[in-house]
Amino acid sequence: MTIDDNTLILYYYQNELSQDENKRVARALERDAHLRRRYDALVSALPEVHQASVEVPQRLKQSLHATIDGSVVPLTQHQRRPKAVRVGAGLAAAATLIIGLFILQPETDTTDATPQAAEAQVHPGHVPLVSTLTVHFNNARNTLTLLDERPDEWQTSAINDLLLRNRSLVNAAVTADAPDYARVLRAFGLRINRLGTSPTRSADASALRQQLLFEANVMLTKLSQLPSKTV
Amino acid sequence: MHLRVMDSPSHNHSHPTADADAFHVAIEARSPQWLAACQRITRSASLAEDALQDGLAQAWAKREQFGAHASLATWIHRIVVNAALQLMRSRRRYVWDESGLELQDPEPQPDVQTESDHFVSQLTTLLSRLTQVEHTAFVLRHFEQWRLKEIAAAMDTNEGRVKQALFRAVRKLRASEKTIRNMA
Repeated sequence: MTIDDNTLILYYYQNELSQDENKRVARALERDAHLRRRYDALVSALPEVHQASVEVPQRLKQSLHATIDGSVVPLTQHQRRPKAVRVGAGLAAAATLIIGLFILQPETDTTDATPQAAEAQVHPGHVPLVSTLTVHFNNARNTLTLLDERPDEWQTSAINDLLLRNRSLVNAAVTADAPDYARVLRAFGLRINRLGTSPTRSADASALRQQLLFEANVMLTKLSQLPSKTV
Repeated sequence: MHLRVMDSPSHNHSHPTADADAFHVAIEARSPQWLAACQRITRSASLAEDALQDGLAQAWAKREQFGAHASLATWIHRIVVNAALQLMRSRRRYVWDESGLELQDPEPQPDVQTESDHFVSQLTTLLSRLTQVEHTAFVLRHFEQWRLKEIAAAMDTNEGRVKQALFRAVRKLRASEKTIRNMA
């Protein structure tokens, strides 16, 4: 048996060689100092396996807990948000309640469709979700339109709020077995997130805002076609 | 503080409060590890957050399938990792040529590239030099300690191809050995 580097890699990752091969490599490593050095060099090149962890943003942690509670999380306990944003949060809370009441289907695997707003499929069983999404995308459009005119603090608050509502709706779409909507919302959320991390009033922020507005409009157009197709 | 908008499943008699409590405890204790695993797989901070949210929602939805043979946190970890893989698959399929070698990766998606600039660890930056297939195979075998055949199933391919991807990944990492040592 030739013991090359690939064999040594498989030996390092236990249970990937047969028992016989494993024993043979172990014996060879005991007897052959040159092979041992090769093995040690190989292993030392690999990153240490440890329980790596990263800091979980508070908003994400709250959202994770909310997934279990079936609740909607306010941005922070003490932060007072602009009136328009608070109204939006109220609408989202009401919308989530509607979803909670109407959609209690088990989650299933998603498909591999491309996450583009125009490709979202409308199904009759998703009518409550469609209403909720319409509220969400309308609210998003209003917020995005206002962003440039408002102070930075308002922008940050509004974007965070939009992001939280979007996350709640991703979970709702997954629960509702609506993978297309989940993907559209996820892609939408990624861009909202990027908007939140871009310097306000920068060219990037402006382009992202335009893109988000475009996507919100596409979704609203698509969602508005539902009644004629399904009711 | 959560704003309740509907009855919590923890108040439902068919799901004892302990279930929800156990999930809350697991979130507090292990969400940093879950998020780290998702970041390693997706190579994107925001995709990792989405994967974690999806994974946790899936775990909660099928909590009755949880058996006592593993810890709840470990069980959720596995589901979260699968959610991250699922998310990556939905963005781009793994591409192999007829000989079983991975085709060259196209340029990274813009959001991945942007976010990798802010990425949390040097290790992740180093791993980002691997192609998508090498990266997935290596992360799942090395960090998540999945068997090669499990990885092959997750990547819709055979064990031989995963092995080759793993070997290539290790070779690339060896070439960057000095960098890794400096990180230790």
